This record gives sequence, C-alpha cells and structure tokens, in this order.
Amino acid sequence: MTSLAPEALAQGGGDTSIARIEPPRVKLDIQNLDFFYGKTRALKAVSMPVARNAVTALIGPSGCGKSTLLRTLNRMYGLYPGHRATGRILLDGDDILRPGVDLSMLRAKIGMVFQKPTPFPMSIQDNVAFGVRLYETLSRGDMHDRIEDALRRAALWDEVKDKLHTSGLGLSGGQQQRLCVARCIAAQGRLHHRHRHPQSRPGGSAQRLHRIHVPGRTRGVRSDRRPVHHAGDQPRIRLYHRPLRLSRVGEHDVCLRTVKPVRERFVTIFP
Amino acid sequence: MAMSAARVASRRFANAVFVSFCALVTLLALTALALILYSLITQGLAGVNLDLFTKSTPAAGTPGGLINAIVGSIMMCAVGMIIALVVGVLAGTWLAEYAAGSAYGTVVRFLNDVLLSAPSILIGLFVYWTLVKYGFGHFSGFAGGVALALIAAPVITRTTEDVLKLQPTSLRESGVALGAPVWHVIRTVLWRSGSSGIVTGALLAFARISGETAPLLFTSLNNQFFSWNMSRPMANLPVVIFQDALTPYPDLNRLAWAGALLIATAVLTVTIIARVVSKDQHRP
Repeated sequence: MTSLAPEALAQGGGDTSIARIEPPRVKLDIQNLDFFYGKTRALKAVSMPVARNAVTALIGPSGCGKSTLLRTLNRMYGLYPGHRATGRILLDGDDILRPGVDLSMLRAKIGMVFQKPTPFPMSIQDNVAFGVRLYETLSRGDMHDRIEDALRRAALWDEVKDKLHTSGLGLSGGQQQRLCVARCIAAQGRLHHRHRHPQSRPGGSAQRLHRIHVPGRTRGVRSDRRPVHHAGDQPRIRLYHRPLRLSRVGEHDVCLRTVKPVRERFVTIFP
Repeated sequence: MAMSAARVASRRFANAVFVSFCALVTLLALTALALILYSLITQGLAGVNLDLFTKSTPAAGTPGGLINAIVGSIMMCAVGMIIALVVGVLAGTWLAEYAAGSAYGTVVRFLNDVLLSAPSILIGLFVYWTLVKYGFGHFSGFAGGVALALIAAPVITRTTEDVLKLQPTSLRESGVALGAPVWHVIRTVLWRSGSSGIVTGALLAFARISGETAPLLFTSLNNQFFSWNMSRPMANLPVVIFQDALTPYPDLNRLAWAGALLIATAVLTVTIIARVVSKDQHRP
C-alpha cells in the first residue's frame, strides 16, 4: 500500500497492519481521489481501504477535508455545480464515481447522518419510514416492524414507542440525532458515516449511541475531537490526515502514539 | 477596568432616549391603525343588515345590498389565488432550488421583483389590452381574476423562494442522502418545513388583491346584477366601494362603508383560518 502516504509510514515505527486489509475484507476502496470545489483542490491523491463490518474514523483538524471525503462517498457533491471528484472509489469492487451510476440507489445504500440533527417535519414513524417508502411497499405490519427494529438499533425505541405519531421535532437534540440514525438503518443502508463523534452530544445520548450495534454494517465516524471509547466499541481503524492529505492509517492508539505532529496539532486545536 | 460612572450614566441616558423613541413611533403607527379601524367599524356597521347579503347593488334611492359584488369578489379572488399559488409556489421553488447561480434564474428573479413593485394600474392596463380588448373582446370576471393573479403571483414567488432558502442545507441533503430524488425531498420535506412561511406569503398576496380596485376597473368592470358567469362583466366589492363612495347619496355611501368592512373582515377571517389550518403540528 505504498499509496498510503509514504511520509507517514516513514515517521515510523507504528503498526500499520490495519492499513493492509486483505482484499475480501475491503468494503470501500478509495484510490487516488482528488476533490475540487471549483478551482480549489480540497483532497489530494487520497487512497485508503475501508474494512467491511468495522468502524472507521476520520480524525483531523478543521478544514482538512474530512467532510469532503465523506461527501464523495455518496456523491452528495453532485448537488452542486463546480464540485467534482477524480480517482476511483470502489464499493464492493464497483466504481461509484463513474458516470452513469444511479445516484439515488447509491445513496440508498450509503447512509449519512449529519453533525446537526435533521429530523424531517413529520411524525417519528414517518421519519423512519421516509427512506423505506422510496424503494419498498410494505404492509402496515411489516412497516411497523421495520420501524421498531430501526429504532431499537438506534437505541431510541424505549423512549419513543408510545409517541410514534408525534413530531420528530419534539424530541431532544440527542434523541433527534438517534432518530436520524434510525432513519438510515431503516432504509437498509449498508454503510453509515456519521459526522462528528457523538461524544459531544449532551444528555447521555453519546453513551447510548456507542451501544448501537448494526450487524453486517460498515460504519464510519468523522470527528474533529479526540474520541473517548467505551470498551467493546473500539474502532478498528483510525485515519489521520493532515490538511488535504491522508497522513496516517492505523489503529487509533498506535496513531496517537506515533504520529506526533497530528497529535500535537490535535491537542492544540481541541484542548 | 471598571467603567466610569459618567460613562455608565450617559449610556443609560442614550438607551432611555432610544427606547422611548421606539415606543413613541410604535404608538403613532398603532394610533393610525386604530383610527382606520374605528372609522371603518362605526361607518361600516351602520350599513350592515340582511339586505347586504341578499340583494344586489341598487340604483340610488332604492334599497339594495352587495351580494352580487360579494360573490364576484370571492370568485375573482379565488381564480386569482389559484393561478397565483400554482405559478408562485412552483416559480419560487425553481428559483430557490434549481436556479442557484444560473443567469436565467437571476433574470427571472429580477423581473419578478420588478413585477412585485409594478403599480397595479399597469397590470390592469396590460390585462385590458391583452384579454379584454383583443382576447375576449369584452370585460369579464376571468380577466379580473387573471389581473389579480398577476399581482399575487410575484408576492408568492418571492416569499416561497425566501422561505425555501432559509431551510438548512443539511435538511435538503439528508433527504437526498436517503436516496430520494431532489424533487421528492422538496415536495415532502422542504415545502412542509417551509409551509408556515409559504402560507404567510399567500395571505399577504390575498390581502393585497382583495382590495385592489384599479386592475378590476379595466377588466371585470362592474355588473349591476347578480351573476355567476365569469365570462361576463362581474360586480366586485372594490369597484362598488369606489363608485358608491363618490356618489352624493348617503345610502350608497353607507353601502360603500359596509363593503369596506366586509373586505377587512374577510381578510381577517381568512388569515385566522389559514393560520389555524396550517398550524405546524411539527413545531414544538
């Protein structure tokens, strides 16, 4: 994997074994990705594999391109003229950047939860059903099961089971965020990436979010804070990248220990 | 770094002056409003009786009411609002969601703003020239409705665009991120979250056209008799008010005041109904 930022490897000594994921375990393979906002180049030759059924985190200072990288994964940038990406992103071997990809189908497969909760102005159950109804016609009972399942996995069911028909906007901030997670799960997204580590969410939501287990899913977490982990939910990979450029791929702790510049900048910016 | 006492005192003084000025100006505006309402209610109520809702506009000296003008106004406002809502909401949506940064969008937005501030008599003249003179060949309720639509549509276009632009980008993107096409997100999420603003725009437009006289003089003209037929000249409240208020006959003057009171009441009622119906149950 020489494309994985050689200067970071040269810095030394760390265990980069996670960066070498055996091909069957690669869910997403980002190859030589450049991203442009008009003339501004926001990502330079980023290459990294993302492992299947694992939590992957992107960490780095403000403005280094974490969100930009995520937004290429479901081609959200396609909404804006002038934004473009070059390179390849293979999802199960299939390049999602090539022209002719069905963007709606792609986005139905790759879920996305935003930093700020974005519940739709409708009831809790309609929020969860939104993505499902786009592609499936379910009976009342099946839909209810799907909604319950998604809300359970998002650790929200017990709090909302008696008020599914009330507005999603009536929930607290942390609950709204879990509602958005449930909405993604219900749509059967196979991969979720989440903006901002939930650690910063008030009211204990963060801890509950950590317990979300979505078997058979690949999750990504983006953070510009130093995350604190709970036992049993240790992410498998941490990615550090300096502005514009991927600088390090490896185990969370190993990276923090070995990539000094990143750590120092990190600590300085987010004390 | 404590502030000196003199400085604190001078700030307090400036604040007091500013607040009292604001209060005074508010009072002035409210006084004018109260006076208008007072004259409207006292003069208008004198003309309110059963005849108002059962009889058509009379000749001077005979008893009569406003039913032909009431029905005419309702029908023409309804036609105007239906056209304006369809055009305005769609145009506003296009400007906000699809026309960002496009030259065509900029031109359309500019022209809409021009239309928004165009004197209503110009609109009337335009419809007269196109529909009355060369189109139908005669005055008609439809022409009146179209003239009202031309006044209402730019208001609705503008408010719809503004309201949609206020919706957070992340709301739009999270709909799209679930695999929904953009138009689906607009229809199911954005219109709904902006509904109270769009309703406000529609109400503003309705309030404005309900009292418009100039464009109706050219287009629907007036009709002494009761009529449901929109392809013929049609009576309407503003024109009746205009004509009756200028006559030297006190009973016709009373009728004009009663008509004005009816318009004000109708606008108030529609506003309240629309607010209650569109009350967003999804806002905590």
